[in-house]
Amino acid sequence: MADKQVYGISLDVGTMNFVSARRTATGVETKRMRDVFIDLPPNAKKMLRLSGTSFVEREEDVLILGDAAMETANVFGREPRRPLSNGIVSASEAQSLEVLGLLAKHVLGDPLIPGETCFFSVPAVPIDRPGQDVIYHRGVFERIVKECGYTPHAANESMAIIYSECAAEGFSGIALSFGSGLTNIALAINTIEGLSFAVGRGGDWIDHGASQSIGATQARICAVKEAGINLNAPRNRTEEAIAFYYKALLEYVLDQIAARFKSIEGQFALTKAIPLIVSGGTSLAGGFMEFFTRIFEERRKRFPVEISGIRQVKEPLNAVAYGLLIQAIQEQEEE
Amino acid sequence: MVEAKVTCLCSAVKLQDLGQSLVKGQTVYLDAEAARKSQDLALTVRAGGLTLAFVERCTERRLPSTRQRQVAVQPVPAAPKILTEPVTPKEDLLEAIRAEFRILHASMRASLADLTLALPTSSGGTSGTIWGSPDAASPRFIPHGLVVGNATMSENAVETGQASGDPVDAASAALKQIKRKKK
Repeated sequence: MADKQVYGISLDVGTMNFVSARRTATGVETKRMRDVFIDLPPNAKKMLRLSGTSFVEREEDVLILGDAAMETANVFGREPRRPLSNGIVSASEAQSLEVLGLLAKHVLGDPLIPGETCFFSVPAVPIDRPGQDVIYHRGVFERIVKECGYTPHAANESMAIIYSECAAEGFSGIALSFGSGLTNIALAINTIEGLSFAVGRGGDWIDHGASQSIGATQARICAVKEAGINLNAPRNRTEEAIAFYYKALLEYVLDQIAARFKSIEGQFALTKAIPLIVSGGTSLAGGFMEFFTRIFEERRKRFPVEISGIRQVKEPLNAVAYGLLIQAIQEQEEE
Repeated sequence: MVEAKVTCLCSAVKLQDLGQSLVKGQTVYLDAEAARKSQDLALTVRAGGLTLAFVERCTERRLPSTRQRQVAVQPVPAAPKILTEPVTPKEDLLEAIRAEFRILHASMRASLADLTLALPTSSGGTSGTIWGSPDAASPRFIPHGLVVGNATMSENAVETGQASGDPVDAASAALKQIKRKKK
């Protein structure tokens, strides 16, 4: 496959990261940008040039995107702004649409052929946020991807994990994507989506809860998490608070899965046990799998689906983009 | 009653036996008998530090005034009585408001129905565009020009990674095989 040019690209639209993936002659190339930005007055340009910080120049201000925005925000003592909130386009960020367009353009690049296929991820509707849907969110990214020169295709985030991780099981399994804004869940049997939903808790929920309980900022909690923490052996009060909220999140997610699966128990029959696949940036915390497995084992007897094994994806930040890429390549070849 | 009027002429003097301290220009009235007996006073008067005179001060006694000032007070006019009655909206006005709301509701429902028709019915499907052509059929609340054409950033703003293509190729092949079987 590597000898000939493969068309098709993917875009994982996450609350914390935008990740694109493309098959190249040497392998799979991924591009990632952190989904944050900060706006500065035009007179900051000189300072940014001197410091070698990339920025986007606009008429009334300059925008810094991605990881550089986090660093610059710290220098200026400001909170970086986030164009997505709770997994979907943020209603409170007036500039968010333009920023999302910029982020997408930078990770996607130009299409190799006009109208090249691009699969982008869309979260499922969160069951615990009444009134929230993903219709507007999908429409925005449809528009953005099209304006980048691609033919857009929306695809479920957790189903993408099934495509990238469950080929050996005939694309059957339960995928859990522990994101920043939401946790997405999908059950698939032989590529067919049996059930998908999201819960409105993720990494941000942990940061918020832990920060409130110990009187720290969310940014501080996030930094502690990303610096490396072992959930099974917290070393101080901050890490202990984070571990408490991780436990609460996992219990909540597993209970919600059990309740939802029970409600559709009679609608399809599983002839064999299926794997439980764990992915997402929130699952990068040290000791996560041991922590998760322990909590799952406490509930295994009551779990309505027989699980053959629990495993974590190799690249939690890229798994969704890989799954979307597989679908994009298929779609492009069928055209 | 006769009293001793003592006025100080020097800068300051203390009459120990009378328990008095005086400064220049100060005048005090003392009991005449005590003043006569005071040796300190007599000595200081002789030295020219004080003057001493026996005087009788007049006292006047006034009867407390019994007259009271007459103030003319205007009578406060009584506050007008406000009659409170339960407010009952007029039925015709209510009906007009209801009619307005019905029209507004119907127009919102029609707009939403148009939007819903333009959307796919499944959520998170694996294929198909969402709103067809963005130029004609798209709702107007998503602005055009979201991707700024001339916005450029250096390449180092994007973190690039490279992975083996084997997992993607294997999954693609497996997926192709399943689709072929289904056909």
